[in-house]
Amino acid sequence: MDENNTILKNDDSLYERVEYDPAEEVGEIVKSNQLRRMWYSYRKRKVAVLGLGIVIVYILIAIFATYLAPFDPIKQDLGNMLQTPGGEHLLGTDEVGRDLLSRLIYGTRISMRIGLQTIVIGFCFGTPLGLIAGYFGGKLDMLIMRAMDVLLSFPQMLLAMLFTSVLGTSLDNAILAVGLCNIPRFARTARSETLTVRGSEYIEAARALGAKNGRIITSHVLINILSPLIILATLNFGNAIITCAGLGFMGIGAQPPTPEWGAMLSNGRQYLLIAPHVTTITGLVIMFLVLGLNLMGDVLRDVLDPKQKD
Amino acid sequence: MKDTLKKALIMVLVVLLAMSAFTGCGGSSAGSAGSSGSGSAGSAAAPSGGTAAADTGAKSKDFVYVSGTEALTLDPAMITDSNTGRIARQIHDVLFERVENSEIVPMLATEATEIEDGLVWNVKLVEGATFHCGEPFNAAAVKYSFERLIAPETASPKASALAGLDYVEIVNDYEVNLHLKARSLMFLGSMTNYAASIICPKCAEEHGLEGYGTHPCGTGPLKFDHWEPGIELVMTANNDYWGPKPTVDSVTFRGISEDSSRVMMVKTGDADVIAGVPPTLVENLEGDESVTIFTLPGYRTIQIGMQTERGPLSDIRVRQAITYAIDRHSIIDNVMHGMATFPSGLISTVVQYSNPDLDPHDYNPEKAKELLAEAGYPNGFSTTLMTPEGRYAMDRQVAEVVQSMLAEVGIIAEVQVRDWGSFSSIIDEGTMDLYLIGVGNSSGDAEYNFHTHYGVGGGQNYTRTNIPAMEEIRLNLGTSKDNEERRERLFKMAELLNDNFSSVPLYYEHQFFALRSDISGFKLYPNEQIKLAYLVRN
Amino acid sequence: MIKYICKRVISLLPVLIVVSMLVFLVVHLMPGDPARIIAGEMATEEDVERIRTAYGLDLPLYRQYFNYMRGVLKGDLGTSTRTHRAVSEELAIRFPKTFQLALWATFVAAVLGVGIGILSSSMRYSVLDNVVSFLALLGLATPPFYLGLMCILFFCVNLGWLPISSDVARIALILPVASVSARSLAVIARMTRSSMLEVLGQDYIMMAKAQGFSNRKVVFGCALKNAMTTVITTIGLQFGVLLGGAVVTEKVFGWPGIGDYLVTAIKARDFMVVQSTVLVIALSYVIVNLIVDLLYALINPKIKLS
Repeated sequence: MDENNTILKNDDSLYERVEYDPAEEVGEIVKSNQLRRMWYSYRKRKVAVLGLGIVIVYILIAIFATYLAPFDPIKQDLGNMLQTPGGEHLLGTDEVGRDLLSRLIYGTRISMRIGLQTIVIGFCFGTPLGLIAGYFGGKLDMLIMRAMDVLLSFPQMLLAMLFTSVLGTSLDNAILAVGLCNIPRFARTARSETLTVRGSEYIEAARALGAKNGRIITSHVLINILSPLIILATLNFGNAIITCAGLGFMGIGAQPPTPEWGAMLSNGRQYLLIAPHVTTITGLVIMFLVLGLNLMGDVLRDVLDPKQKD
Repeated sequence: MKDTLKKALIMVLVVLLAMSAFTGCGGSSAGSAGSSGSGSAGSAAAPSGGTAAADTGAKSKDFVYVSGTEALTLDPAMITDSNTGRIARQIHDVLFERVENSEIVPMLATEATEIEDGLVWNVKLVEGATFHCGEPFNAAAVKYSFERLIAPETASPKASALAGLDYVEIVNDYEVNLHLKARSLMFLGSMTNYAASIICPKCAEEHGLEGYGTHPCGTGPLKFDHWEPGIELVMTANNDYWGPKPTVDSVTFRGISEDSSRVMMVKTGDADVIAGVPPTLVENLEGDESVTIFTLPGYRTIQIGMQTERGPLSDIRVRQAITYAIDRHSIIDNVMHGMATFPSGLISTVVQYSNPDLDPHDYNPEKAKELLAEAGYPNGFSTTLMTPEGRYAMDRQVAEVVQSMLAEVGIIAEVQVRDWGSFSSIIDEGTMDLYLIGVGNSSGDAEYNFHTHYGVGGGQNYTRTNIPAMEEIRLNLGTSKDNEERRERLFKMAELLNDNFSSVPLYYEHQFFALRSDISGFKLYPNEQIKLAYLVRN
Repeated sequence: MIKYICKRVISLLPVLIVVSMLVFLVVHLMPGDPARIIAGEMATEEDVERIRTAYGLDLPLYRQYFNYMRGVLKGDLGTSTRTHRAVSEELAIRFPKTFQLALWATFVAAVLGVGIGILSSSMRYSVLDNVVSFLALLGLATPPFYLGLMCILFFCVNLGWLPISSDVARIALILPVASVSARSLAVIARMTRSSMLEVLGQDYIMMAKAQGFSNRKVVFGCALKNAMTTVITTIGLQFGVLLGGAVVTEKVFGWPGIGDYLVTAIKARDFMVVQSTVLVIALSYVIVNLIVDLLYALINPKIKLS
């Protein structure tokens, strides 16, 4: 599960270690074949549409869960346990006879909430820290970044597990823990972007005109470093969902009978030999949402990252 | 720059190679340890060797036993879970053991008599038994083992198993006097606990408290060979055993936590015996001709405990309502797939002196609603239901089902799944409302439960049960003139307890073992003990 | 160069000290009374109190920390309260297991990932490239524990090809390695592809092509070498991540590594084990990242040291 932060690791290297951006889209610089290039961007758009489409479908499901779910997601029916897909229950039932489809539909809400809240936590705390560190530099910078280094010394999943153990087992605490783990990633990206922007002419100009630091940070720096942060947020969204599912899988996330996907997957695994559909379907649902988010993130990276433009 | 690059790359390659060589060696040395051991133990090669041998006609005498968790330590004084206790007992013998029907029979002892008004037990020991290291078994070993268990320096979590013992007096080489602090008729039963195993004084002194757990030495039919934590623990036959000679060459113990994986292993023959078959998979295994299931009702009662000093739960009518609201037949039939016993009271009926004829307080949701209204909660109330996960078979599922049954009569219980670490400290603090727990019995005698779980001041009286009428009898149990009178008193206490509704007994848990059909000689006892030394592959 | 390395190592020390404090604090903030947990289910009140004193759990927290750190510096990582065994002894058995898994997974991911990345970059926009790119994205979207379960379901249950239990034979490595490496493979393949494309777009490659060098020669001769800086860094980071513990995957396969050890310890509140294992994981994670950083600085001519 800690494998998750690999994407982010890459992003760290994208923004920190590497002066140029190695993202595939740099290939666009290839000017030799205009036709190809058009075809390429078209294909890219198609992929973007696909990603966006998947995410929108999930969002709609989350919004209209009450209307879409055919059954009550927490209503048990002990006589109809572990039914296979088909029949009255379209996707079958779980270990206490609850309708799997309805649980998955309501679970969408929970996953959306997980993604949003963890990103908000990471963004709201990480970005200001990174901005301040990057803008003012010096001792403050060192202090903040060393603190971030401490948090980065743990694999993400491990840190989330430790935090959740301390805070107590609940969905809110799992979200808080994963959100906390996001802070250093936002802080690092914000800092390195701020460092690039700080030296630019218009900041110098603003400063020469006597603008206050606070105003420069909010109205000039922040605006200019927003795009990489948005990309990071999109990619992190899917990641947070996987990490939270991992916590749910370990039994330290959402409490029953909450239809959280990770917990559902974990409960289903006890019946892997007799009712594999519970685990299989739940996993696929997680996979497609994260896939959609990643597709979207990839395209966003093309569109928003100014470094990509030639 | 180019040179630096090359140098760096070379450096990295060398480091990587060194690292992989290191792990490679680690792996292969483990492998060779296994194969070199296989001459005598057949350790690592046991499963594959088993099938290979079957083809050629010679049956392998090496067996693989797989349980949900691996052994934690092999020091009987330090064991707190029954799975580890089972494994350690293959190496160690006890003075008395409980067999079928919870009967107590002598093992390393020959007879026991109560002398001096029951304050002393005179125990005669078998002669000719030796420890695996060659030391003789004698009265000194009994004195050492028992006094080590209760000594404060040992800090044994199981010291209470022999709580009534004051000191051990050696009469001669094969006779001891056990001096008690007060008369106790259940003392004989206490000595059947794995914590009261007899260990070799010489080896225990040599390895100390820290080391004995990995260097155990007893008088049992199997002896310790080697142990790689997380991987395998191997025992070999003790061919000098004082009792019937073991029929196996070796037994390999493994811990595989995933239930489905464990079941798959016995189906494919990777395991010969598995412990803890989940009830949901019993049907699946029954359809497999190559696997036989062994089951026996155990000492453990799965119950919904109620903190009787908190909020609505302090009202007996509310506790009655909760009891009547839970459809236990449905839980047993559906969630447990019929693989559990409907309870008569809180103490499992296979425990000696438990009362089998108590009012079951059967399912009656209407009565539950009436009682709630009477108690002043016509619209129910909100509470919490805490449960561990994975500690007892289907624990969380059962809690979820109970939650939904309580909701039917208007009680909204929020389920809180806690790992055992926090669970045990919360119930100890008493800050929970309802909780699901499995209550066992380490001596096989009902009296134990009354002192520990349902008596005032009992170490695990988490419900804060306090029934004055019952207390009066409990404190005078030592004055019973014989076990018959004690039985009557215990039956009366069970009735009083049952009418107090401090916990809802859900069902008595069954123990499930599955083994390959071609294996015989497996023994399973109600006190969760097993015998693996006499397995035979037919 | 050496000065740079020293500087980096020294700057790590305060971080590690704070890490050790944080871990200690976090572990002790966990709800649960360790003395009671050691005592077990059937213990009496006296049992619990006796154990609390015997294990020094009644001392103030800072003293427990200093006692602990004094031991750590001497190489004594404490004793497990659950198994009564030295933590260092047990880690010595389990760490190589995790190391083995991480090494194999990184190896597989690196070989296949780089290969696939090169292939798809040299055949850009082909069907193969599209398929590979999509699969890589899919790989990133799959929770590793889910992949592990599906592997078990398919290969062990449905086909009966592979054993589930670990360490029965070398062959048991296949499934854990496969499910752990999938994600890294995707990351490495994507990174290889993009850095190859980036390099192939550079002027000097154009020049080489214009001068009539064969495509193969350009790809393997010049481009690969230059794209490798990023790729090697990625591989190194992946190794660090895998070493840090594929916690859940180890649990799924019952792999006897540190992840499995740690999770069990957290649930049982085996404080010494949690403390020391987290410390060791953090340390190895930090060290691997440091090595990768240094390596990157070494092989990338564009970054100036200091």
